[in-house]
This record gives sequence, C-alpha cells and structure tokens, in this order.
Amino acid sequence: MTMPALTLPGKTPNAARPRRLHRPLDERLLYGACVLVPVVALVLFFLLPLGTIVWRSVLEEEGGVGLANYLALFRTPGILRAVGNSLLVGGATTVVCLLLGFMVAYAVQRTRIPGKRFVAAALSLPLLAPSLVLGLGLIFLLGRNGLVSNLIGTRLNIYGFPGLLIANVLYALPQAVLIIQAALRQSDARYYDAAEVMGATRWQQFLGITLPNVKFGLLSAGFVVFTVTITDFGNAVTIGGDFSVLATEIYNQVTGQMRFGIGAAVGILLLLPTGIAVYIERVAAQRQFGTASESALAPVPDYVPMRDIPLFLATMTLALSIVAVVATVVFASFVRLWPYRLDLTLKHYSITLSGGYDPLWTSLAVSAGAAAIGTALLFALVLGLRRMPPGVAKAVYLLAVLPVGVPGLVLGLSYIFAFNLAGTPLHMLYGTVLLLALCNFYHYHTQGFLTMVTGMRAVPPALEEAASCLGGGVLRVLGDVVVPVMVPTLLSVFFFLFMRSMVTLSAIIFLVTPSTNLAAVTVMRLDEAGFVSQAAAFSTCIMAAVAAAALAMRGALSLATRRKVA
Amino acid sequence: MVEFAGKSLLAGVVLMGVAVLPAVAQAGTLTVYTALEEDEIADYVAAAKKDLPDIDLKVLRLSTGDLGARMLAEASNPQHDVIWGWAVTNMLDPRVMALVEPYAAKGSDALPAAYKGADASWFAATGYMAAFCVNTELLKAKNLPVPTSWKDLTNPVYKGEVVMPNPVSSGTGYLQIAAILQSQGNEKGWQFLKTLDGNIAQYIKSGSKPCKSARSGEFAIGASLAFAAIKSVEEGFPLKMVIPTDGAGYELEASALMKTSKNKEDAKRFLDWTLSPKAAALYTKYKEIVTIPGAPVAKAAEEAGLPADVQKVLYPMDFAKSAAERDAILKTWQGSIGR
Amino acid sequence: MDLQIKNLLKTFDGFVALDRINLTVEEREFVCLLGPSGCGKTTLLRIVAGLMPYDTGELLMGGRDLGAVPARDRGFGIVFQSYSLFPNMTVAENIGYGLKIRKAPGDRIAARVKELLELIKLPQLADRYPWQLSGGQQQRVALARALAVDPSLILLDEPLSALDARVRADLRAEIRDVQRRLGIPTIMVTHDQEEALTLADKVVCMNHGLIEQVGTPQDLYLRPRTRFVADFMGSSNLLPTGWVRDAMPHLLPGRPNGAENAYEACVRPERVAVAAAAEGEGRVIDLTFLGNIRRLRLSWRGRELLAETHQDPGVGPGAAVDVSVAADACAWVRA
Repeated sequence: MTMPALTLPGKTPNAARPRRLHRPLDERLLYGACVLVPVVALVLFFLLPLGTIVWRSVLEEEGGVGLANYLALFRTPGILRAVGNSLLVGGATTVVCLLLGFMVAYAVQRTRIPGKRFVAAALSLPLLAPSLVLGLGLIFLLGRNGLVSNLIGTRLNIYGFPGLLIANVLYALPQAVLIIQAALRQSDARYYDAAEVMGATRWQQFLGITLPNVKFGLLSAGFVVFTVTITDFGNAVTIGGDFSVLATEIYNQVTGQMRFGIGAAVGILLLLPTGIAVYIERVAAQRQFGTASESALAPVPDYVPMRDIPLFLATMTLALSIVAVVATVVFASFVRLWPYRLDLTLKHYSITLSGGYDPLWTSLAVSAGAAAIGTALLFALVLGLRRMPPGVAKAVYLLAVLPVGVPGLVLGLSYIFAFNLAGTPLHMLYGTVLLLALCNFYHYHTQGFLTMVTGMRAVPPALEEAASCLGGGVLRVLGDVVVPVMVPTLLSVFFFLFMRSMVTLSAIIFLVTPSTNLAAVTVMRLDEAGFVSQAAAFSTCIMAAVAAAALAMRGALSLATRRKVA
Repeated sequence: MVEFAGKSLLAGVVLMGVAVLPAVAQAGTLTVYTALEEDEIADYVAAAKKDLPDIDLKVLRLSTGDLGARMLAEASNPQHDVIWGWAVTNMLDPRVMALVEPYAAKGSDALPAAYKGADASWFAATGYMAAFCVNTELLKAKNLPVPTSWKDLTNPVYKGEVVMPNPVSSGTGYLQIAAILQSQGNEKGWQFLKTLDGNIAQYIKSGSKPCKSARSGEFAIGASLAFAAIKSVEEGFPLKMVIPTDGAGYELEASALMKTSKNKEDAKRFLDWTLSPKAAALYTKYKEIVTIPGAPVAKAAEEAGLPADVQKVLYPMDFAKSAAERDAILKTWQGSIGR
Repeated sequence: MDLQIKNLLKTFDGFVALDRINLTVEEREFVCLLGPSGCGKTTLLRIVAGLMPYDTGELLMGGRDLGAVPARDRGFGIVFQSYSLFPNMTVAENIGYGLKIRKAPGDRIAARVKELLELIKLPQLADRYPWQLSGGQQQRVALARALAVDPSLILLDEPLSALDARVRADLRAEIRDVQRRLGIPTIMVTHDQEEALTLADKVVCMNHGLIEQVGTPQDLYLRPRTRFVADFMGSSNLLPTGWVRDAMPHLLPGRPNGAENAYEACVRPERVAVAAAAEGEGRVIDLTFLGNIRRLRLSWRGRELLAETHQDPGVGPGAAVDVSVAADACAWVRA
C-alpha cells in the first residue's frame, strides 16, 4: 500500500497521527485472560458436551444422520399435551415466583419487618435440601394421607398440576429472590425524596419508581424460574402424577427405553424457550438505565403499618410453610414408622448402605471445589466482560446463560459422551471428582452468572478509575476496590453453588463411580431400596452439614474482616 | 507478574489433575455394574470377597433404567467388566448384546434353557416378580376386600385407589403389562388394560414407588415389585403382599461378560461364583425366583404361598418377544391409555 | 405567602444539628442558606421540605402550621444536587410527573410541559432519557419538574455543585431569571459564597447549627458582624484591636464597646490602598496576577496584609509601598 507523502512544511509525520490510549500490557492481558479462561472452560465443559447431544439428536436409529428423531418426537402420542403442560406449569410457576419473590425481596430489603434473618434462612432451605426432601415433605404434609389431610378429614389430592406447581415454586423461589434482591439493593433515596415532595403517595412512588427500576431484576428472575421449571423432571416424577411434561419425556426415552435419539431431540428443543427468554430479557435490558452512582444513598426504610403488617404476615406464612415442608421430613427421620408408629428413634441414622456416610465427605469436597472454581471463574468472566466490545460481550453473555436450558439428565449424559472417549486427553478427567465438581458448576452456571452480573452493576467505574489514577496496578485495584464492594455477591454465589452441588442429582448419576460416590446418590439409592426413612435421615445430615459449613465459612470471613479493620 | 500468576495457576491445575486421576485398572480389580437391590448386594459382595479374596470388587448400583442409559452412553468406552443381575428384557436389546461376549459360566449348563441365552451370551441366576402392595388398614377403613388377581383390580369399588408404574418410563410397569398381554393374548389383553385404566389413579413413573405410596396410605393398592412388598411388611407397615393369580409378571436378572473387559480372567471367576451353591444359598434369602437347580426354597416365595418350584405358577414369558415388541406395545399404550 | 421558621430545634442522638433557628422567607424572596459542610443547612432544608422531623419549634407557611403536614401535602418543589430525575421516564414524563399524580388531564399536562420546556430553553429534549442529558441539562429539567405543579416554595439543595464552572455560571443566571419572573419564594442551600452573592435577596450564613448573620449580600460582605461571616464571605484582613490602635487609630471610632479581644477589624483587600513609595513602610511579599485583579501580600507595621487592586500598582516583590485604609472601609466583627 503506498502512502502519499504526509509531510507538511515544518511538521514531522508522527505529530499528525493521533495517539491511541495506551493501556498497560499487563492490564490488557489480565482482562483478556479474565474473559478467555472462563469462556474456554465454558466451551470445553458445556458447549462441547452439548454438541454431543446435538449430534445424538440427529443420529437416527437406523444409523443415518437426519431429523428423523425430531419427526418421531412430534409423532409421539401425547407430545403436544406435554408441550402445553410444560408451558402451563412453567408460566404459572414464573408468575407465582415473581409475585412471591418480589414480595419477599421487598419486605427484606425495603421494610423494617422483624425476623428477616429467619426468612432468609427459610428461603435457603429448598436450595440445600435434596429434591427428595421437598417431594417427600409435600406428600407427608399435603398428600392423601398427609398431616393436613388427616387434620381436615378429606383425602387432598395434590398429585398432578397443583402439587407440581407448589414443588416447583418451592424450588425456584429462592433463586428468584436472590436475583430480585440484588436489583432492589441498588436504588437512590433521592428519587423517593423528590417524588415525596412532589406529592406522590407511597403507592405512586412504588408504581412509578420502585417497580420500573427492578424491571431488569424481575426479568432475569423470571427467565431463571421459567427455564429451571420446564427443564425439571425431579419434581414431575415425584409429585407430578399423570401431568406429563416435556422434561419427563426425556426421562421416559432415556431411562425407560434406553433411547438417546429422541431424548436428545427433546433436550435440544428445550433450549428454544431458553433462547426466547434470553432474547426477551436482553431486549428489555437495553432500556436498563444507569448503574448505581458512587454517591447513591440507599433508601432508609420507614415503618408503614398498613404496608408492613400484611407483608410481615405474608412473608412469615411463606417462610413457615417452607420450613414446615422440610421440618416434616426431618421429623419423619426420627420417627420409627411414618405415619403409623410415631415414637422417636435414631435407628434410621445408621445407614445400612455400604460406604455409610463416606459419600457425605466426598460431596463436601466436590461442592467446595465446585463453589470455589465456579465463583472464581464467574467473577473473572463478569469482570472482564465490562471491558469487552459490545459485540463480544453479547455473544459471551448468551453463552453464559445457556446452561440453564439444559436439563440435568441431559447434561450428565453429555458429559459421558464427551469425556468417555478413550484416547482423547479429555478422558483423563472421566471418573474424577474434578469432573463432578465442574459438572455441578456448569449445571448452575446461569444462576451464578446472573447474580454476579447484577451485583457487578453496583461497582461504579469511577471507583476503579480513581484507584488506578492513584497509581494502583490492576490487581491492586481489584483487590482494594472491586472485591470489597462485591463481597456480598461473591458470597451468595459461592453458597448457592455449594448448596446446589451438595444436593443435585440428575446430572451426576451418570458420573459417579464405585470409588467416587456422592451424598445425593446415596439418598437416591436409599429411597429406591425402600429405606425412605433412612433417606430422610441422610438428607437431614446433608442439610446439617451444609448449614454447618455455611456458618463456619461466614464465621471465618467475619473474623478475617474484623482483624483487617482492627 | 502476570506470567508468574499464570505459571502457578497452570502448576496448580496439573497438580489437581494428577491428584484426582483414577487408579489405573490393575489385574485384580473388577468393576461390576448391577441393578440388584442394595441390601442383597452388601450380602453377596461380602461373601464374594471371602471366596475370591484376591479380587478387588467394585460395584456400582443403579436402577434398571438408569443403568441401561449409563451403559449405552458409555458404549464407546465401557468402564465396567461385568453386568450382574440386570433385567433381561433390557439385556436383550441388540445394542447391549453387541457389547457382550458370550461366556458359558461354570454351572450354566445346568440351567434350564429359558434362563440363559442360546449362544451363552447371558445367563440368569435369579428373578423377581411383580406383586400387589395392599394397605390392609386402608382397605379395612374403607370396607373393601383384599384383591387376589388383576381381574379383581377392575372391580369398580377400587376406583381411584389403585396405582401402577408407567410402562413407558419403568421397566417394572412394562413387565406387568407385557405379562398381561402375553397371558391373555393381544386382543383380550388390551381390552383388559383399558378396563383397568378406569380404576387407576396414577401411573407412577418409577417401579418401586407404587408400593411406597400404598404403604404410607396414599393409595390402597400399588402394583409394584415383590421385594418392595416384602421389605415393607418386614419393617412393620400395614401391608400385605399379593401375587396376582392371573399373570404375575416377572423378570429375570441376567449377567454377562463385557467384550471390552481388561480383566476377563477375574470377570469369569466372578461370574462362575454367581452360580455357585454358596451364592445360590444367599439368593434364597432375598429373591422369589432362584433358577439354580438344587437351591433351597426361596424364603420369600414360601411366605407368599408359592410352591417350591416357582416355575409352575409362572407363565412362560417369551422375553425375546417382549423385548422386540417393546416399542410397538408402548406406542399403542401411549396412544390408547396414556394420560 | 411567606415561610416562617420559629425557634426550630433539631437534635440527632444528643448532637444539636439546629439550635433554635429563626428565619422568615418573604414572598418573592430568594434566600440562600450559606455555610460550610456540617453547618446544618441541608438539615434545615430537609425539615422545611418535610423529609425530616424536628424536635421543637414552629414551621408556618402563609400562617398554616406545617408541623403535622407530610411532605407530599406541602405543595413545595425540590431540586437535588444530582440524580433526582427518574431514570425510567423521559424528560417530558419527568416534568409532567407531579401533574400526573394529581390526575390532571393529559392535554393540560402536555401544555404545561411544553410551557416549562420553553422556560428552560430545552424544547427539543422532551423525549430523551436522563442518562442522555448533560449535567446542566438534567438540572434544568429537575427545576422544570419542580415548577410544574406551581409550588408555593422552591427548595434547592446545592443544585450547581456537581456542574462545571461554565455551566454553573449559565445555570445560575437562569435560575435567578426564572425565579424573578415567577416570583416563587425560594430557599437555596450552597457552600459557595459567590453563588450566594449573585443569587440571593437574603443570605443566611450558618455555622454549627446556628445562624451567624442574616442580611443582603451587601450587608454580609460589607458589614459582617462576626469573624466567621467575614472569613466565609470572601477574603478579608482580620486585625486585632490592639494592633489597630497602634497602626490605624482612625479606624477605632467605629468599634463597639467591649472587651479588648471581643472585636476585630475586618478590612476587605480591595479597600487596602497600595502605592509605590520609595520610603514606604510596607514591603510587597508577593504578587499574584489573576487577570482582572492583582492580589498582593504585604508586610506592614508588623502584620501581613492582603490587598487587591484592578490597577497595576507598578510594584514587584520586595518593593517598598505606602499602605492606607479609608476610615469607612472597616467593619468591626465579633471575634
């Protein structure tokens, strides 16, 4: 390429060219690595396995490659009904979860009701309880021979849609509250002051200021709730009765008839609603206004009896209901023969399975690993995303939220397909606890990612800029500025991943080996062997272990921060 | 600074990877996949370890369906040496047969032909039966008689109190309807199933759950597995096990050697052991059907009132047929009865 | 309507934030609450707005007691330093918000919004969102929004502090202009004395929860009554009585009676006349050139003095000068 002579009389060529903003090399490398490493991991541990599912879905029974599986799926009797049911229960659960979730998040964040810690603890119960506990608890309480039924005197029938709705809400609600709360945390008292002086009533302020500003959080939460509901089959199998949903179709195909083709096709199809939900959420997020400012004043909650008393009652009722479901199962684990002989005993706590309580320790290790790796990767990813050009950022965002659309069963299978190939370097990982940890992390990647993103909005760019202008290198800025602001978010992501990893079942059934067994699988085995009370006992131990670990971690953290301040 | 961080990260990852490498399979290690029940596995494995002390026996137990899915998913690189005690209806699937190497275990020549593969690709030492789990307390409260047969279940008095497994997702459910269809013939069989459907409250996704529902009082009658019934009775639930007099479905538990096993010698020794008299004696403690001739009477069968030679009351199931027709039967079921 | 504040007391956990404040804002008056951070001016503003309760005292608007009236019923308008525009609404929706919640008909809202956009000279921005506007534009919109409901009182909480100097000057003029035209009584909180001087009809200088002095800008500048006011309203030379007696005895007659240390003489730098004189007693320490004025630091009769002049005094550092102060150029302030 020939360049025309640029010289002007008296000027040197260089002076005419504008200089680009020079970011130091290590900063660019760091942010690049921040995005690159998690993305490569996502590709390896999510996209690649997912690709094997896509492959299986087009691998026809006769051996050719084509869409025969998809066609067969549509010709399966009852499939339309299953699709309709899935959408129905997904939609209903989303509506209920958004309403209840907002109510709880608002009550905790913006009012002065007492008992907030109890509510927070109650809400985390469904997250740290194996899904068996929720299903069992509901049946013990509300089943045809449940406590409530016997109290009232009729045989309540919650199998089918009603029971499935309740079970799904129980499971998804805590995840929704996590996200909505993060959104509610960011607000400025001055909006409310201005509106107040202008004559707006509390109700008008709520409708005009509070609600619009959590739109993003509500959408994110709705997206998560919808997708985890339509991909769930644990609840559908336990309490769904004859209410067939799309996700159980996978179960039918894969577990009932050992056929992967149609099951894989359903798995891929389930990504569709996820994709649509992501699109809706992103489009709406375009209109998200402003990040928090560094001088944002958090609104100070007042006591408003007319609002607070009903909120308190409703929130407490919800919290107590959740506790009741779990407590019933814990109680049943101490009962000799539920529901016939109610004398208390500890006999169910001696686990008769070979290995006893060992899987519990393995699970703790795996979960700690999943949580640590997961939180670090997510933090790096979200941090690096802030500096990426919008096109790249959008693509990475889409990739990061896709995992929620893949049912656990499908994910577990895909890991076998991807990592059980003899001769490939990936085969090294097959059968290891590391792979278990990674599988659990990627299963819940979306929820962790969204929570991290919402929390990162609270870190204003000005903070980082101020620190770097003061001479701080990139790592200093991160350590001194970003991390402290992000601590609540980092903690909640860590605990979420930890809790879910302890109890998730559907994916890891396919990855446990005789030498690496996990607690959730033990619960399943006990249940299938008919030792339901032992399963309840073991579940109680899992919940206790998780609660203890959580308390220990929090204690250690507060000790560490206290020492820093002193 | 970044380079150092990068290097130490890499080192950490390598270390972690090495630390979690699975032990390389050595001679003397045997990996067994099984669908047998938990408590019997514990018993059998303890005995096997005594008889075969030099074999490091590693057992993975999953339910019938889960195990099948896992094995087929791992088909390109199987991780196990032996399949032990798995539903024969599933074993006969050509994709599984393709993974298996025929081996005439010591003692298999004594087994009747119905209990082994013609080409010695599999053999079954035990089997399990379907049975009704009947909640006597609930029936008494509702003043209902105890059913004794499938036909009894179509009695309108039981409407809404009967549950059975969904054949589409549960092998137990499938074996129950296959038994009905084979014993009554296709036309009469489908008609019967349709009539029965009127009384069924739910088709439960898993095979053992109907029994659990019945024993906890959710429903009065659950069509499930005999072992589940026996166990519940043992634990003290107000449950009675009823083996239907017309068409009690049953399944054989087949074992086979994997073609890809790296330890065929030990695998064969183990398979031989599963047909040994010691093993046979253990089986009778748990199973309703023990195929090994000369084995003592199965305790469970005795309690259920079955004759010593169970084969007499069992309808001679054509397992190959029920395996081959599975797809078609299930499609018909889903179309005409499925909810 | 006028606003009367009588004996207003506000404490926070024992700390006295406002110590029996008495103040009146007349109709059409522009009052500035001036003082350093922590003096209580924002607290006072928030109490007037109704956003904060007070301990004792009276707050009367047009004779009506506001004590029991919540903020939303007082009919005032408020503009904050920043971030008060609702981010989820356009400029037009923001301005029309007050009318909307009063259920005014749509066309009336539209007409009023248009009127106000013209008033603040931003008719083309009606459909923009706050994050699309510059700081100055946002504050103008905030002002329009406050005016939209015909408030009986306007409250401004440091509205210009977050803006850059040029924008600040423009906006300052605009605020004054609008207020004069509409005649709505206004209270503005600021820590910038220049703002107070240019905008206010009445300046209330506050310190530590107390009012130090109330008066016109001229009053506070030329006749400060306390040391704090003298120091806060521009720079000054504060001269102790003893030294004045020795060096400038002609200033003494204006001194109120009182203890030796009770009062100091405040002489503004521009009233210190400096002339080059070969035998002058004063010495120029240094000279700062500020464009239109020159600031000189002088040493004279044992004291360092600050002088300002528009003319070129024709002296440089170290030069000898004559220093003189006219007899009426001094105000005696409480020390």
